[in-house]
Amino acid sequence: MTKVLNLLDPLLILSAALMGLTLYLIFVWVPTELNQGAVQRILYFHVPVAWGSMLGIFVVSGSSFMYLWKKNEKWDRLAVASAEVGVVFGGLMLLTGMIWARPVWAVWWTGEAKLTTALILFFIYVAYLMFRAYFPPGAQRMRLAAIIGLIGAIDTPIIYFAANLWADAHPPIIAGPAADAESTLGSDLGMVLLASTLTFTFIFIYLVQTRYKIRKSEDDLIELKRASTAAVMTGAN
Amino acid sequence: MTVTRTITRAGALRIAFAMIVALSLSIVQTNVSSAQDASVLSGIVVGVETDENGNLTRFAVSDSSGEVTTFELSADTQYGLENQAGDRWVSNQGDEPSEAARRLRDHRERFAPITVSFENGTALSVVEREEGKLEANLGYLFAVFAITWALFFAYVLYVGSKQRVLQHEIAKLQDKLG
Amino acid sequence: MKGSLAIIWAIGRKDLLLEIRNKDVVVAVAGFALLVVVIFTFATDLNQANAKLVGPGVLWAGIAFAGVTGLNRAFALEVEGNTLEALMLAPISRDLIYLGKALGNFLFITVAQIIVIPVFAVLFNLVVFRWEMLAISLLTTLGFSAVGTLFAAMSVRVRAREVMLPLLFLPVVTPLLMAAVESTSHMVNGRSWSDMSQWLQLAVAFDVAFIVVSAFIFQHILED
Repeated sequence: MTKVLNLLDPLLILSAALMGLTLYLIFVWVPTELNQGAVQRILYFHVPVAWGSMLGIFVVSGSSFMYLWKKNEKWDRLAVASAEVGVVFGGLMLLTGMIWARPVWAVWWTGEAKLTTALILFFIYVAYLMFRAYFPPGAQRMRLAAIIGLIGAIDTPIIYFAANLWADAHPPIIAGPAADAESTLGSDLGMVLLASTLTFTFIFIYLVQTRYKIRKSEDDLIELKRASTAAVMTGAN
Repeated sequence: MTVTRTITRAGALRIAFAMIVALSLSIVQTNVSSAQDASVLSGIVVGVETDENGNLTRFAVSDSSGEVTTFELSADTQYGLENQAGDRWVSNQGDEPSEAARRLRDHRERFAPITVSFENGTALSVVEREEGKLEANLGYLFAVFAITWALFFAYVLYVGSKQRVLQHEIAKLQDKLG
Repeated sequence: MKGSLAIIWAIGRKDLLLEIRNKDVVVAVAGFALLVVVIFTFATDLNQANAKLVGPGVLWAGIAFAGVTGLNRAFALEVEGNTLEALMLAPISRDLIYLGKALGNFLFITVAQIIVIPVFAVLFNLVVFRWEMLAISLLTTLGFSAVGTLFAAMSVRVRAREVMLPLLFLPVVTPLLMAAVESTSHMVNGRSWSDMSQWLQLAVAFDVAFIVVSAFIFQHILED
């Protein structure tokens, strides 16, 4: 069996170290943004997890395509691993975004195009995971899941376009004190965002890798079970 | 099966706990001034007093109603002040009392507002004024922080439990075969 | 080409004949959609002023939800009667099976709409008998049946089929639903074609994309 959750995994150590640095940058090093105050620091979490969820969708659709093309199980494993991690990141993106919007825009949620798109995509990939959970395992599940993954990707630009049109027709309610204020941070902001995004990308890769290995073990287990049943059968004969 | 160090649930919980403690400490540390049970006053610097070495000894702040308050300093008074370009200088009275004076004079000239937390007339921290209700905003920030980690750990625990079930199944199978 | 169309029509006609005999799908879809519309007339405290505001949304939400129930039946009947295997054994390519089934679903939902839309017009007191409505309705139904047929075929073997189909179907058709609601809204407010052209273009793009992709991808669903 392949090792799964290894504490000495270099990727985990790297992520942890980077996370320490990122937290230092976010909470100690970077000055408070004057227009938004302390809540602006939420963006240092929000933007990286949003990036992570985008990465998740990207990997799901890419590996779904590869699975349909090559029919190699490893693409299916990669798809399910990144879908799961992507949904975790996506949920975080929605929650952190709402908590940021409340003090800054004065609403928890609004019909802004990116928000609508993110929410619908989140639902599509939750449905993807539910489908996998409900469907009996096997090659057919891999194929069908890959199709859903691919359809989600095809739908993304259409959803975004529609959400944009929709937001034009129904102007988003953004009324908070600092809705339109320019950032007072300049390059510091970009620096911390970059560091934070890098950190969360490594966490994303680590989690996907871990989930991938577990998936692999599950498949191995099914194989083992089949082999052992076969062994018992032949032994009985 | 090779012997590898794998996370059990207890192990994951320990790591989770350690990280939460460490991260909470980092928050507490950055927000020492607001966490303490001190009064807070925001306004514009109107007076800066130094001794013969140019070290800051006292300063005065005028709040929005025009009332002037004078603050004494202790060696532990913390500073978090920015220059016009936005570069933040963080230090304390014990280390750099003369730079503190220079910074406060700079703020006086620019009419840049500061926020002072104080106890019994002694300033505990002198920082660049932050817009809005700092306490309320910190609540939002903390919520994000807590939710982020809670979700990550929930996910790690979920993955870990999957892993344990797998190991159990495999052990059972090996017993059966071996 | 002519042969393909004949095959598509043959499959569609088969479903249609079955439907004419037992009227399962159309009655279910129309009944459900009507109930949604009627319930919303109470739920929204309907009056002359807000009918134009909420009406389009209610109509299309009703049709979308009702459409899901109809789509659930589309392949369930084939599985119950073990006729899906027969279809797969037939020497025709999978995309034609898909297009045939989609044609059937398209016809069912269209017939259901012929019943629902007039009742909606009466209850909400809106003028909907216009060419715009025909265009909107056809484009939306086309997209619904394109996506719905694909997902219905996929969820046939899922444990909780009735739950799975709407969870897959509704988020994916959201852009189409937006287009339908928005252009209907333009229509009841008496605007011209040019105001809704962007939405209609979106609907066309959605339909084309999903019909092409689904037909292409369908072979992976009906494998083994």
